[in-house]
Amino acid sequence: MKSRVAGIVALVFSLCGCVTTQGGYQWGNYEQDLYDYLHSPEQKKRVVENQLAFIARCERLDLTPAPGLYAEVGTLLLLDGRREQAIDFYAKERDTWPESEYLMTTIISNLEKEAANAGN
Amino acid sequence: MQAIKLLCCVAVFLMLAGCANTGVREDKYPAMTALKPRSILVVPVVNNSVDVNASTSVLSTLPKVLAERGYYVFPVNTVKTLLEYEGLYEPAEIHREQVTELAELFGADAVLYVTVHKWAAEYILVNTRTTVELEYTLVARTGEDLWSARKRVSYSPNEGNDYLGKSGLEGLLVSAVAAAFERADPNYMPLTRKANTEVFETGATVIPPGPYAPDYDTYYQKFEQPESTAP
Repeated sequence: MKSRVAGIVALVFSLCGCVTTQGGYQWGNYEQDLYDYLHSPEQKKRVVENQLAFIARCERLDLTPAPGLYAEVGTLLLLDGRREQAIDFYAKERDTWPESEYLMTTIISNLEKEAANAGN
Repeated sequence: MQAIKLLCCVAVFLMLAGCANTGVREDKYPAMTALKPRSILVVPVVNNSVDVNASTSVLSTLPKVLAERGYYVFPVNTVKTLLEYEGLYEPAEIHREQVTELAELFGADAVLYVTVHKWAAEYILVNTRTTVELEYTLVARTGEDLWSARKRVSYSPNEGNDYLGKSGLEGLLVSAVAAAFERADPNYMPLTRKANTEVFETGATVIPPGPYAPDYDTYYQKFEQPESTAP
């Protein structure tokens, strides 16, 4: 009996050892929000507000949102016609993740050109 | 009793063996080692099933699993939106684009292509079997194949329990209800996450770690060529 318990304990420990270390990223409700955004047009407004609130919460607590999340909010804002705010979020993505620098710089300069052409 | 003891020992041994892959020196993915990719561009998912939601459903599950493996994952909805600006709406069309051009457009080290082969809930007698089958291919910005996997996972609400063994009619009714629920709202998302976890994190195809993973340096150090001692 004892050895059975020991066996189970060993099994549990070895399973714990296999669990890959989590990056400790803040995801908020990203996956579900993204799913809702892609499948239910009537949820779009809610998703934008929810993601904005999530980023604000992260910043208040000095936590870094997971890779891509600043830019995703930028895109949601852009599609909602909030270009200036979108640029701010793309800049945050660029400053947080060096791998995104090329893309974010391209997006920002295109949006700034667009704004200049539109005369605002 | 003896059998259980033995089974436990075997199980523990297998678990430990599964963990011990850090000691293996054989490089399963030499193209990954050559490139050491930092970022992954996940493009929209090709859907070969009849369910129109399969493509976007799978897409929504990919960023988390890859980022937790240590990669910078390009924001998938931003990528999808930018591709649409470029006139690329159809995933199949995007998959046919030159990988070198896609990678250059976004500044990505590698591009992940995912195809849904099966996404269905089939009703068989008093049971429903939900199946998800996905194929994943990671390609370098240079066009070289880096890593690939194909995974089929399925779920039946009446498998592994004894509704049917309990009592004839009652058990049948319970399982028919469970099957009907599964058919009405199939467990596609948990199955998709399970497939992702197995191919990227826990299975035989576990993908090498990205730069934000704690084992990134130690993983690639294993395959570093020793200094050549040529005269």
